[in-house]
Amino acid sequence: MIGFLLRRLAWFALTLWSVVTVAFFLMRAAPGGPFSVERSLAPSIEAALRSRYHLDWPMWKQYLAYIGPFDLGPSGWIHGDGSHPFAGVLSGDFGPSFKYRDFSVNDVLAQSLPVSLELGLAALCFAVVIGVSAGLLCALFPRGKLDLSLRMAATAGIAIPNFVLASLLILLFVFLIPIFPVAGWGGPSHLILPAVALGTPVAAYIARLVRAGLFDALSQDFVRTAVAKGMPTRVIVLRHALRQGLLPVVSYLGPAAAGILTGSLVIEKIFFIPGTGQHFVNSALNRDYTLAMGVTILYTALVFGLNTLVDVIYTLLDPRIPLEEA
Amino acid sequence: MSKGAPQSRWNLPAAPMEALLERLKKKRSQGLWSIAWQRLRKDRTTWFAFVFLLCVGGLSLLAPVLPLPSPIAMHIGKEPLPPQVPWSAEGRAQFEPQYWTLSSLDKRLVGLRQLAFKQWQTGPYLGTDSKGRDLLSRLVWGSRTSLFVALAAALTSLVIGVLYGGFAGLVGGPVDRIMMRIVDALYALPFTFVVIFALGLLGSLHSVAGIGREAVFFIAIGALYWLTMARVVRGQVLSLKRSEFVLAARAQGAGPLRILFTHVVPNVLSVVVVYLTLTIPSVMLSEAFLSFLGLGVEPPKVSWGLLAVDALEAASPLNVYWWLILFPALAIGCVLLALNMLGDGLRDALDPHSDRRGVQT
Amino acid sequence: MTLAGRARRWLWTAPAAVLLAGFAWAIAVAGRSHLPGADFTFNNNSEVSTLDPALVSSIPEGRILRALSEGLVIRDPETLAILPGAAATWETADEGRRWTFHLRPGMRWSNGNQLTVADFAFSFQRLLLPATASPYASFLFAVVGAKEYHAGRGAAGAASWNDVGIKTLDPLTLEFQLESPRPYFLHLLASTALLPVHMQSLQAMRQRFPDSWTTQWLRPENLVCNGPYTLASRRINDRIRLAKNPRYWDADNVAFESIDALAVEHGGTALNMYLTGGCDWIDGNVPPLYVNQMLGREDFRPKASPYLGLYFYRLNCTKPPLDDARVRKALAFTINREEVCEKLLKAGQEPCYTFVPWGKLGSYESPLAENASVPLARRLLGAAGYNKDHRVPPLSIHYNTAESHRDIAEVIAHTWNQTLGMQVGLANQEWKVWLDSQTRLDYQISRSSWIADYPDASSFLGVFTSDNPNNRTGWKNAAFDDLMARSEREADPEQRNLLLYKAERILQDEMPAIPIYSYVAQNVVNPRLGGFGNNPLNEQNPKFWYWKDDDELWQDRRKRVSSMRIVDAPGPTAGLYSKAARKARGS
Repeated sequence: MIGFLLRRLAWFALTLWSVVTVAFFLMRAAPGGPFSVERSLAPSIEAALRSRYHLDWPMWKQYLAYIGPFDLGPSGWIHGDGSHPFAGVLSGDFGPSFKYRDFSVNDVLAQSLPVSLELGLAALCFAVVIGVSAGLLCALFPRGKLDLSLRMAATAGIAIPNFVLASLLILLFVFLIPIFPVAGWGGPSHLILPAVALGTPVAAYIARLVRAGLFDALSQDFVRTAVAKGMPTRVIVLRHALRQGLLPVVSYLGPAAAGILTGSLVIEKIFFIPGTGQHFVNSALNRDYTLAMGVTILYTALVFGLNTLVDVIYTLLDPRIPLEEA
Repeated sequence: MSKGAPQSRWNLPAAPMEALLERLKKKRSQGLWSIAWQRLRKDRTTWFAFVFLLCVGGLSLLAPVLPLPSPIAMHIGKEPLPPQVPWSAEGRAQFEPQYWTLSSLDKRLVGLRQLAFKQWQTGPYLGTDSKGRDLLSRLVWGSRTSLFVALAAALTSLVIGVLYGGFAGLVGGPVDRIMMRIVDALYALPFTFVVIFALGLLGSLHSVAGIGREAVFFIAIGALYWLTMARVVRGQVLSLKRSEFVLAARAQGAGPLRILFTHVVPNVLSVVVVYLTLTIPSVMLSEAFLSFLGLGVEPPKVSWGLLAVDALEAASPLNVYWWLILFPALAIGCVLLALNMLGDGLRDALDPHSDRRGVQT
Repeated sequence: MTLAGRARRWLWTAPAAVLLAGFAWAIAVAGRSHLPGADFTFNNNSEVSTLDPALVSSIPEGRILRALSEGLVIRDPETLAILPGAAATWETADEGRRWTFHLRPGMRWSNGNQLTVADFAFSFQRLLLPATASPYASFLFAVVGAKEYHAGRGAAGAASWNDVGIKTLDPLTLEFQLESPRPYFLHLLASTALLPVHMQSLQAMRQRFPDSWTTQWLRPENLVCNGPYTLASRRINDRIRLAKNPRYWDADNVAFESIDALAVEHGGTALNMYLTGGCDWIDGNVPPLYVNQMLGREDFRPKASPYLGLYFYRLNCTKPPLDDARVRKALAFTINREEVCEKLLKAGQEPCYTFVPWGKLGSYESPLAENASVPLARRLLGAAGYNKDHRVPPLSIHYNTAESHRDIAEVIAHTWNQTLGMQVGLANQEWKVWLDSQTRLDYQISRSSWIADYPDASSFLGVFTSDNPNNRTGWKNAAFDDLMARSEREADPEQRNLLLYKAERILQDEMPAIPIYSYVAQNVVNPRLGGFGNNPLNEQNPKFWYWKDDDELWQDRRKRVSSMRIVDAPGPTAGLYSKAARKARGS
């Protein structure tokens, strides 16, 4: 286990470094810079601004300064002017945001991440509950009308873009049957519609996985034994097959959770939620280099962390143990 | 069993045996694809999805010939009309042949339509939008753009993915491991990011080389979806390399090319086809998202993504233009649903090991 | 069953338990993060990029800053007349070259420190420092020595603040020495760039956080304000909560205790929030689907709100065929502006043929545009050497991603095609790429707009001087530059108007850009709000806002034209008045 975790950590470091490098140079290659605004600055002023954030340094030097914490002062081993607008990623400092100039990237993420976490957890709960129940129902009543309609609903849930679903939900539950507020953040009633919109594709996918996993589990020998022994279907499915059937869900939840927890720009824009999803897109559109790198690193770390967690849980939940009990 | 010369235990007459052997010989030469086709036809939902998609595809190809109003002719100043029954005279106008720059084939088809239907056009059966444009026409013409972009992006991802994954699988060893680690690293990049920068970079290319904006678009998208395809193809190639029938073929003395074309390629293709039908929905979803950002298909061209984005503003306490929300959602939902079901059905049909029949109680 | 086996069984429930616990936490926290409602909520259209007055250049920041800070002077919300702000009185001498301002005695910052002219002098010095990189440093270039200071030069070589004509005569008296009389100098002092910052806290922050002071001094807990409101809390992309500043000198005249500024960008969501009572004022962004239904309501009157903004097409004057003024004029003469305004825009925007929107500003009137006609345009093209055999090469209109820009460009391109036979294409670019291509002169025709910084014609005409970085057309004209420079130094308003008139005539002859339409302010405001100024700068000062009670609301309604539809005016029926107003009303 320890060896596995250490190997994972090493791969994580390597992947993170390569992602940071690719993203760093990709961003600076795109046209437009963080400081271009409609009220142009005089060229000398813009040059002064860029030099304050060290955007006039050669690319490799900017890159090293970003990774940090190398001493780039005149006495350091690389020539510089000794000032540090920020200490570098390795010191945990992601730097000042170029777009939200009153905040550092750490501040921006610290404000928006809890919001996304709240929304994401609500969406995940909804997804898991609905998805597992739907998959169970399909397995308990196989090949019937219920199975078919649930299967189609699940596929439709994956198919529809989440903002189309959001506009349908708003149409139904805000204007036709006025239950929920139209937008905003700050109370349980603001949480429900965006959580449903975010969680439905995941719920649908989980339903498919549970259904497929249960069918796989139910075609195994031990099930035939149980049937021969005269156990009721419900007991077989719930007590024995479910554990095995839920395994693929566990491994899917890793990347799915990463995606949900980092939010979605469209849902946040429509429902006016101050989450992290919009930072992914807006930082790229605003050429906010530091914030963009910050969210990229966050996303990579989250994906990696959740994947590793899921793998560990998977190993711990070895399906052979329930078999011995049966 | 007694030792000595084997004695025939069953003294069966030879003639019925010959007939039986003949029948078995005919059945033996059924390939993977014919089995798959039979399975597909038996599965009613998948068959229905297939037929539905054929209809949608046909409709969108034939769009210039259908007697639909122009998808971009604006009649500003009028309120959006709700869906009208066919016999109502409300909102009827003469046909105006206004389109974006069409290909020459499409232009000829439009000419054909004008010959056949003269000035008549269908009414606003699904309603009109804020600029007076007919929704049915925009849905049909939009399907062309959306499906074309999705197909093109999926094919791009296919080509890159098959080449990359096939190469990695065939070569194996450390090269394969490095190539797959690169794929893992690329997976970690957030999608929107790369697209925005790719579009920004390639946008300057477009003004230089005159490539169409859509071309830039689907190259960028396709270049992001090849990752899954590469993984899947590599996995398939690896398992095929070690499979029994390849070993058997080698034992029989078949050369590597023969193995490649008679065994490897058909099996890889099956997986590829399945993933193709499942990539197209993802690409359409990405196209919708990029249309929301304004980076997708550009007006006056219409696509389902743009219609979905227009739907976001259609509900308000002042007025609820439900048709602008419902019909694009239904269109997108049904087509993507059909594609997914087709993909699932193809996977069930082409995978000889799948036996998802459930518990027989 | 073994112990390990039992443990493994319960391990299954662990993920479920974690999820449920997380969900419960989410619900609980979601409930707690709900702020109590503010007295007034408005939509600020986008998240502000900074609250540093020296760095601010767009409208959402301006709205917040006018609540947090007060400059030497402020403007009346209805008439834009200059009113005393931090300065109680002022005099001018030497034909307008010397201005002396007397601050109100006893003014304090929100943390109790005295507000003196040292803070103002420090703020102006900061504005002019090249290291600050302020986009509006040029507002102080009228002052003696300011331009040189900003360029890093001084009388004795290095820049020195002593060379600049801003002197603090005593803690309450500030004197400006201008190079030449500037008629709109007071309006410059009322702009957001010249708002004061708290010198002591800024210097303290720089000492404490030498590297990251920029992200520390503007936090709600650190920011010190002198305006009617202070910064209570701030959440990015959600809202900025402003709380009444009890130490503001005029706090008795401020009605609202708290104000929320939301950052909703999506037009549909903003309108829905306004219509469901979540928001009391939205500025612009009404989705085209609903414009017709909103017009005619008493809370949406764009036709009565001319706005000093101009929508125009920049032309790249450095490359053929647009380097020839005749071609440019031919293009300008054949646009059907009425079609654009009436069919596409519908909110009361008016076609504009002059470089100053609405054709007049204060006492200045633009020269009448040349009598345009299609045959004249064709003749101009012919004179420039283009005819049936030698056609104008294809042009393209660059615009940033927005449906309205595309629609307008489409109509105009169509017109040019029909009347002049020109091939004109459209090029949609992402915002940053579009700005970049404009700055690098990598375009042919580019959609642009300009909003006035101050209510004077030079705010628009000055854009086209050759040394202005906002020119971005590559057009240079020495006579124009000379006229504009002379108008800056001219004291007599009549003479000045004449100089500006001549300068605009040159612009109309050369057409480096094509004006298309003049803006209207598209405010959707709760009718119950009082003190909301309908002025051509669309500048709102939260100091004057209050809620009307039902009597006053109906009195105002009776005064207006009766053809407007009455709408709900949610809010306190007894109104919410400032302390002084309540005393005056006798309650």
